[in-house]
Amino acid sequence: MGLQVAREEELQEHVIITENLVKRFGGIVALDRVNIRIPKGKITLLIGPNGSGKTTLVNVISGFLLPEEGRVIFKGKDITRLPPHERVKLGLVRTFQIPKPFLNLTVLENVLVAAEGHPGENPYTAAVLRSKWIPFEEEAVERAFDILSWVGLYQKWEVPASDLSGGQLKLLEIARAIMKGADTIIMDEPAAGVNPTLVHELFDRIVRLSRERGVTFFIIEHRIGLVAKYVDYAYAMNMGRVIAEGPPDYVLNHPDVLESYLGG
Amino acid sequence: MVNLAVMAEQIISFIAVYYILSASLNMKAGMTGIPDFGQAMFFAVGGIVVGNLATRIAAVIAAPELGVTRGEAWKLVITQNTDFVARLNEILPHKPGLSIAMILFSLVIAMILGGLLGWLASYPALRLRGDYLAIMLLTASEGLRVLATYTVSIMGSTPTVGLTAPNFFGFTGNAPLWTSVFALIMALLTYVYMESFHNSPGGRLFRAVRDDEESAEALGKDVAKVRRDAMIIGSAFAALAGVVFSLNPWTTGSSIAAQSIFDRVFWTFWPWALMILGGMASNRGVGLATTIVVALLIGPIRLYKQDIARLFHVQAVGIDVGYFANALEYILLGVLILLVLLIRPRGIIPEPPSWTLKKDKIKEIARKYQA
Repeated sequence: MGLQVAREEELQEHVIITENLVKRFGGIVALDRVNIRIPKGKITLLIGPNGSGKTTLVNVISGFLLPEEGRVIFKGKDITRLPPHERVKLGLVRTFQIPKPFLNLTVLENVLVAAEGHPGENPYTAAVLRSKWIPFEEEAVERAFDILSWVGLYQKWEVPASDLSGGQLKLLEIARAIMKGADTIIMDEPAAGVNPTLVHELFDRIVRLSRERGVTFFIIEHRIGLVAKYVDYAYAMNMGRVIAEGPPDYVLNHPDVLESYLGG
Repeated sequence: MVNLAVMAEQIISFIAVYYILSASLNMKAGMTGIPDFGQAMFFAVGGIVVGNLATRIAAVIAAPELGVTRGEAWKLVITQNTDFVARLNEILPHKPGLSIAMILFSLVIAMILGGLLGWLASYPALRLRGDYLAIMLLTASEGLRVLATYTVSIMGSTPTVGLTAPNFFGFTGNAPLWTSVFALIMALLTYVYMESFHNSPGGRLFRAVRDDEESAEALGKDVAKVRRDAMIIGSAFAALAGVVFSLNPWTTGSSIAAQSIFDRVFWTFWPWALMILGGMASNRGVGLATTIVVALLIGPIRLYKQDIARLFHVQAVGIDVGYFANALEYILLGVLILLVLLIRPRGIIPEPPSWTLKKDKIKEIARKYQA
């Protein structure tokens, strides 16, 4: 009875829970009984040297790879075998290292394309029966501006995406994910290729989104020194295993973590 | 002596046909990124519906007046095309109902068949990319041209002449005038439709798929369906252009030969040039470019190419003036594309955003969320 209650509390506080995930590539064990819990509405960092299994873990959680053993629980639901687009529908969205915007569309249009189930996207009726989709579109534009002002791209709404900087493109990816209905965003190295000033701006936005809107972030990052101060919780992996977890300062100074980076 | 009214009618018809055709290509290539070099075959669908299907039906209905059975009329109007169409042209002016019915029939059936052919062509369009798809569509168009030319039931008994469309506008008393009015109305309707589509979430989705298919897929969009829909709707409009062209006794010189309606320079390369010149995914640009180029170049050049060719004195270097006159259009096409790509690579009016709502309305919403 007591266990059951604890279990439900755990499910409520953690959006993503993995249980004993195992993933092998031939003889290599990429994930070796990985157990992680991503706290809801918080920013969780995942670090580890190259080849430690970070990206494999993200791929298993987002559905791009299937694990041999173990389970992935998302909002209390077993999603281990769901295809990626089904996970997107549940609110779990993943962004990629290299942003892929619609370059000739404006920032606003990029966000609007992400609107789910738009009746105006039917090409056979869109041009003739405008009144069928105008109310939906008006509401979508409202949501898009709301999101754009949250991620800090409000001023840029009329600019084509091709004119944005690398950091702004990552913000645009976040904006599209939220427009899509994401409440949990997994980001693979958002700071890669972004200059330090913009990294701070990017993470300021991520912090605001998580604090004020309750969006959960799970972030893989190599540039730990730049981003550590923004995150609530951290995991460190090495050789397919979680070797440390806890507050970021604790994990970053953990002897095993230091050794994994230095000892290579 | 040039009759200005006649010339204006011809040029208006040319502009209308070229605008509809270029706008159709713009939907497929400019907005959705499908390199359709088979545009001529979708255009030809319109010509075949007018010159073959509508003509057969008109002959069957008018069979008693033609003095043959309905079954004979269905066949003879194609196999003894020139003779029977000449006889139809004496009957049709007294049958406005039949004429109007056949015009409407041509419009509807050609757009349906054009859409169907577009749907068929969309299968390779989903699997092939870029250059390969362009080559495939170009060869499909050429293949259909050869097939149509030598199939008696499609193009009649004389391959070089092809079919002669009856004058369905004969009942108006001034066919050249009313065909150009009709062409203009069709072009305006196409323009309104294309503007409305560009400025809709559907147009925005087409442009998004063109820019990044994977990203569109990641956002849950059915990219295959978008490409298929663009081929279907775009090709239906190409067939409409073919109908407008073939209904016009001026532009056709009253004959619809496979050589002319499948012509890749006239109906594929020129629309590409006009689209690039106007601006890819820029409906207004395409409209403006078509109007300027057709009015200044294609119209006068088609009419006076022999006279213009003589100005170059090419016979001095042993080139036949007649051949040079025909080549003049191709030379101009090449020069024009080069100039545009050098001077204004995005076209005279660059691609605008999809204004799904009025800009003022969007700004009004924007103000609410000012940080």
